[in-house]
Amino acid sequence: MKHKRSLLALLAAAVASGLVLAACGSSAASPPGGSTLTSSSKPVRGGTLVYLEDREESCLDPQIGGDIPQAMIAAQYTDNLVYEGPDGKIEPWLAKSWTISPNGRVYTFTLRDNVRFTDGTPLNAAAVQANIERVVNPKTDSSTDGGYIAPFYQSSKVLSPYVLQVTLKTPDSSFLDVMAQSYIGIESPKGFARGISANCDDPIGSGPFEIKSYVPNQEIVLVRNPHYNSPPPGSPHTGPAYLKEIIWKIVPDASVRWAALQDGEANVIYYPPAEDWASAAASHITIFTHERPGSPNSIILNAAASPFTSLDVRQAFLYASNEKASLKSAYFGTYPYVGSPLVPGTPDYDSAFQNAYSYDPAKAEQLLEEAGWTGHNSHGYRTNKLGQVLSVSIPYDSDPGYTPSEDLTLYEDIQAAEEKVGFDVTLDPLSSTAYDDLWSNGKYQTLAGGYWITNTPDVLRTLFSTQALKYYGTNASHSSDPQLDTLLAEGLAEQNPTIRQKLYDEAQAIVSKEAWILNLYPAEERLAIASNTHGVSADYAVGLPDFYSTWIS
Amino acid sequence: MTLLDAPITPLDEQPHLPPGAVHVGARRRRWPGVGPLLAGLFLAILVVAVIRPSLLAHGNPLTVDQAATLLPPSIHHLFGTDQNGRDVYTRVVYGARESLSIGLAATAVGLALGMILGLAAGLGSKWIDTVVSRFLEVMFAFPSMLLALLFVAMFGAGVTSLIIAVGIGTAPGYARMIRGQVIAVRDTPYVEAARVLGHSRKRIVFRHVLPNAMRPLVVLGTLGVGQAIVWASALSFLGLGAAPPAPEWGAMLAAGRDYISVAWWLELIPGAVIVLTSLATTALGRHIQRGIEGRIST
Repeated sequence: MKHKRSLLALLAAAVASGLVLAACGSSAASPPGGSTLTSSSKPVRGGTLVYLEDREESCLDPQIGGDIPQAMIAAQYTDNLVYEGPDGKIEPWLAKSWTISPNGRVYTFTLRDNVRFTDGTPLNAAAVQANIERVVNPKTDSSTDGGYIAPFYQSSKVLSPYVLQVTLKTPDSSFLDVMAQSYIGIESPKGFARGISANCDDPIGSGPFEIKSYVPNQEIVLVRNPHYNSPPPGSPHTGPAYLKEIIWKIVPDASVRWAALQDGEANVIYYPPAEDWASAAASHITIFTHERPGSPNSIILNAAASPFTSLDVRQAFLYASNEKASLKSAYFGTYPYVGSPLVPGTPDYDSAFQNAYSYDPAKAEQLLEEAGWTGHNSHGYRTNKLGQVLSVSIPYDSDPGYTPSEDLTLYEDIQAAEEKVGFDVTLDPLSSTAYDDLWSNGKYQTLAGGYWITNTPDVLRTLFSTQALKYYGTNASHSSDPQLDTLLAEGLAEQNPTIRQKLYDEAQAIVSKEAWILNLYPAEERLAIASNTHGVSADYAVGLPDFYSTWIS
Repeated sequence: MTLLDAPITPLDEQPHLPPGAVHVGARRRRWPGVGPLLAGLFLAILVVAVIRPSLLAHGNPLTVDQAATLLPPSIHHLFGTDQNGRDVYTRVVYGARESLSIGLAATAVGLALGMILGLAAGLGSKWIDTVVSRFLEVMFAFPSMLLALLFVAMFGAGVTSLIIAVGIGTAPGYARMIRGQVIAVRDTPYVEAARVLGHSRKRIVFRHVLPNAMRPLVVLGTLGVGQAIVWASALSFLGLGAAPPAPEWGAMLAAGRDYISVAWWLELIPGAVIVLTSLATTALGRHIQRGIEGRIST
């Protein structure tokens, strides 16, 4: 049960509090790590927060599959082994300290000894070990966590009740970053011993909230964990959460979520429609955004399917798309354009590729001519010597939770731009099931809506390596380049930041040159917050909503 | 319940209408009234839009203009522009072909299926009649829109699916009407007379029963087109019909719904056109119906 395309792998310490936003008054993002609550704003305990999400969780347990909505809910009821701070540094959380062997393969974690899961069982070294061994077990179908950890995991050993030693086969410079993601929020082994299905509906963590009830595709009710004592560093407060309860509803349609917020039926909504941002202030609504690292939202080109087996055609498609102007128009200027393989803010991001494929229809036409698409049919679309038409299908998930109207506008603009140079582009709306099937069977020319959120440049291995193509099913562009594989493997193992940056620069150069994806914009945490709701925050790394210090006036 | 949802009384259920007798009686020309005239005029314009849309709109319904997105109605853009900067008036005009074609085709599918089932029940053995009638009752247990949704869910979205789905959704209603009509005609004196004269069953069916039983379908079909357009628009609105950027009216409504707070014309205009088209076909259908009744009653 996974949504590979939303691929996310959010990183970073989930619940944590960074960028706290006080929605009172004119509301502005707070200084990192600090509360913005003013002296006149005294947090109120109690109250129910209604949060509207755009799409359903296939399973509330983020270790199964591993999709964004799962990590979002996990951020509320789990803690992580480590925390990623505002400067990208890994800080203690459940692990109060750790050591790394000189060869980068052995991690020894010393855990806090006073944390319990909400089922009453202690959160100790054996529990963390059970979590790690669970996600590396292929039977768990933990595509996100397992994809990160399994290839490098060798063994683990409980040295004492609160000391765990993890040994990797080869050095993995992203291991701690991954352990800071809510995708691998630490869960109660007693909970997942009940079986995957039971744990999906009622997972148990040690976080500030616990799951009270769950009606699939409708709502989740979370209640405060009255014994909570393990907030991450920099949290605005300690002890249990202020809110008594969170009602977490699934409302795919953005305009419906917005209307509910305006009408006072919701306190916070996810992904407010961009066209309504301008009227937010008049409604005393605060818009909060936080860029997520990883790979940008994109249209993936399948290098194993005609016509994109040709590098010239792939590059022509990118030169012709005019996506920068389209993005500005479709999203009313609310999204920055990202043309590079990595989103700015991702470690080892190289800005040199940001404008690698600036709009250049003449160049696109030249490349298509060189690729043999020299003829034109009666509709003006290009043809080759065999009489084949340069047709391209762009499938997308018609669920507005996956493809909001702004995305569709963007795709339609791109379609029109591509047609100007002779591509016959059709947009194909698919049900979520059909889209997932397509992703799995690889029978597509392109896929719209692909992105991957993670706080490491290793996302390039996840998306473009031969390893990912053969074993993980995450390489949707079917790319395979031995030189790139080598660079990505070396980059992951490299402990020296300077050398690692160089390796990833070279890797980004290859990915950019090969034109395997049409990059569009960064995935962002986007929230709209009612004026009576304060202290909503997001973690620094990936911006998962954090309601630990949220209160309602 | 809206006007469009109002049940249409089948001709065979109207007590003053002897089935099969429609070819007797004198013709009498009467002033049709403003409603039917306006309906006819509107539909005539739509027919022009279907056949030669370039006579009514000079632009291209698919041309995007990122510098002219969401412009309100003006002299330059009569119905404003959409989120891609496309001219809404041009899209509405060109959308007539798509939407009306879907409406007509879906009605044809519904009528065809209805005829097959209705004729089988009306002309077949008692056993067939029983089976078909029970089958129709089962079908009636499902809301028509649900049947259509089920079909689209099973066979995927798209214009073809949409046409068949709406056709299937409407077929049970047509089938029941046709069955009743056929049974009524089958038992009329002139059919009885033909039978007594020794005409073959085939000749009786094709010369007497079918022509007279089918005549009311002109009315039903006209009324049905409007309903089919509304249904097709509803399915397109749900993202189950025409793929973007096709200027299908329901799809236009769907694409514009998130912009309603900043661009009312994206919803109001396609919505109004759908309503007007349905009203026009309904008004015309009612007029034809009254015409037939009038001829019969004189």
